[in-house]
Amino acid sequence: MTGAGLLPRDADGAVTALFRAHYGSLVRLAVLLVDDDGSAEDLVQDAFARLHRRWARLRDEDAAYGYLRAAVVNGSHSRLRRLRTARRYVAPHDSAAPSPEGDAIVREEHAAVRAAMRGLPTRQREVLVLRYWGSLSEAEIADTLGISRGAVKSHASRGLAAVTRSLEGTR
Amino acid sequence: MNPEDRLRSAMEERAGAARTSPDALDGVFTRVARHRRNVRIAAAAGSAMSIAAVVLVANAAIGGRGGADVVPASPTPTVAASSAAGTPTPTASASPTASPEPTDSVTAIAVALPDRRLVLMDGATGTVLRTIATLRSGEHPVELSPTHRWVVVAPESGCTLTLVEVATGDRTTLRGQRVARFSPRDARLAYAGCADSAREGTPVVVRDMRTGTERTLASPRRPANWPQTTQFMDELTGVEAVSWRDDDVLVVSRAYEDYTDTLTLDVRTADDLGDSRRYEGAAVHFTYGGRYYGVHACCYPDWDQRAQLVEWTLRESGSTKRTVMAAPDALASGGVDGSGALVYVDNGDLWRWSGWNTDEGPPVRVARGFLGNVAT
Repeated sequence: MTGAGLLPRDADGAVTALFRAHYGSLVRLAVLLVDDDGSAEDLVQDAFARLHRRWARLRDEDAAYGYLRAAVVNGSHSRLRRLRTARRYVAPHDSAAPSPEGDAIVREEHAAVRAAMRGLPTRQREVLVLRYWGSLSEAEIADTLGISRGAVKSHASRGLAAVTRSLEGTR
Repeated sequence: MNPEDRLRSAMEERAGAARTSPDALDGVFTRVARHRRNVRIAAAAGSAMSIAAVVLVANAAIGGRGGADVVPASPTPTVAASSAAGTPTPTASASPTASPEPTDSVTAIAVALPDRRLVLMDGATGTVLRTIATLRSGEHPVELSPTHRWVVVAPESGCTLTLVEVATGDRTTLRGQRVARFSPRDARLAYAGCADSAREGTPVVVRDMRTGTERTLASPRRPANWPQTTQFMDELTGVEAVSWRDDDVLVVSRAYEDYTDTLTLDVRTADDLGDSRRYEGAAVHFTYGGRYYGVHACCYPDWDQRAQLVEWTLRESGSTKRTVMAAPDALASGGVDGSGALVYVDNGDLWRWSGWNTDEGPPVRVARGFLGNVAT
């Protein structure tokens, strides 16, 4: 599933293999959740350290990846709480680098979408990230977040509606 | 472009711009090492029970795993704490004279020694008073009941607590984790039970020590305004410590991500008494004189990594907080013995401080190079 192959039995070896297979994608997930590159790496490393502690109980690659993904999502909660104050003073991340004029409209569009995402309640944003970036099914999102499938639908619907309203307001 | 595609496009661009550090894997293993150190500190504190001078000291290796953690007492105790440590220990190495009956000394503490013996020790002198049993494995946290009638041996890992009657060595196995504590006068034992699945919260079990009956308290309610618990219930809502107030109210500290919530429960009704609150990085490990005490040693790079014994007043008293002692190195925990002295291990040595809450007189080092899990 992940490219990590047959995992070593020992925690050090398994975590190292999983790290090489998934670290980058988990950091990208975390970036979308906390919108801060440094914090994203911190919480993903925290997630791997947690996995190391629990490896004796997991010992399964699929379960391990699910654990890591959920740990990143959960870790983003507390990270966001601590970032909240700083966010009042720090300009939101804008990854758009200088590029040809033809990209200007796209960059502006992306910035508007990200601004709309930042305005969402945490749970709605998580659901949208897992659904539209992570391409997870409703069941997988429900399992990752520890909520019902009905709640996933509700958060997705409300989140998408809020983003749409926000984007329409910027036109 | 529809809203879904606009979302995907914007997220792909943002995620694609993320860069990772080349030494990120080192960061993972640095966290692993830091956690191991903190677990040694916090786990020892959490199981120190009736007063909690519990300290988990490295190298207290006690054999293999599996089965009960306690075997019949060894007829020939061999290695004293000090010699196992390989450092001078003028008092702890005193001859292991076993008395026929458990002591009622107010300075008695229970100690799991590196040579696998579970002993009663005079916490003022380091003299071994009695060998209670021989432990089978692990760095076992122990808990001594206030009247010294019982000792609980916690597992290094897994789900088997062993209740030992000091006078007879009789053992009872309980399905519980390493967190346990006796109520005043040995009336009850509260311990963290084992959840049947990872999605359940850790139950708190209260055992009536007179009748042996047990009651499992429902997972305490979480205040609605706190963040929602999702997965890893054993970590997010795991019971990190239990302690008793003098009025028989049970204080339960639950680990919850990067902070701890503390609930006060009426054990007869399981009602939350409404003094619930959050402490970042610390659980309540014992109460004394109407105040809560816990060890603060937590886990994030930007937090103070030193262990501290901290004190809170009860909410109705103003909810103040002060540091009792900020250990320069590795204060594991502290607990109050029957004489009112704080017994603790700091930087590997066994200390006793009679004036700990009055600032009268300095701490006294009972033994150097002390190795053992201690319960006052």
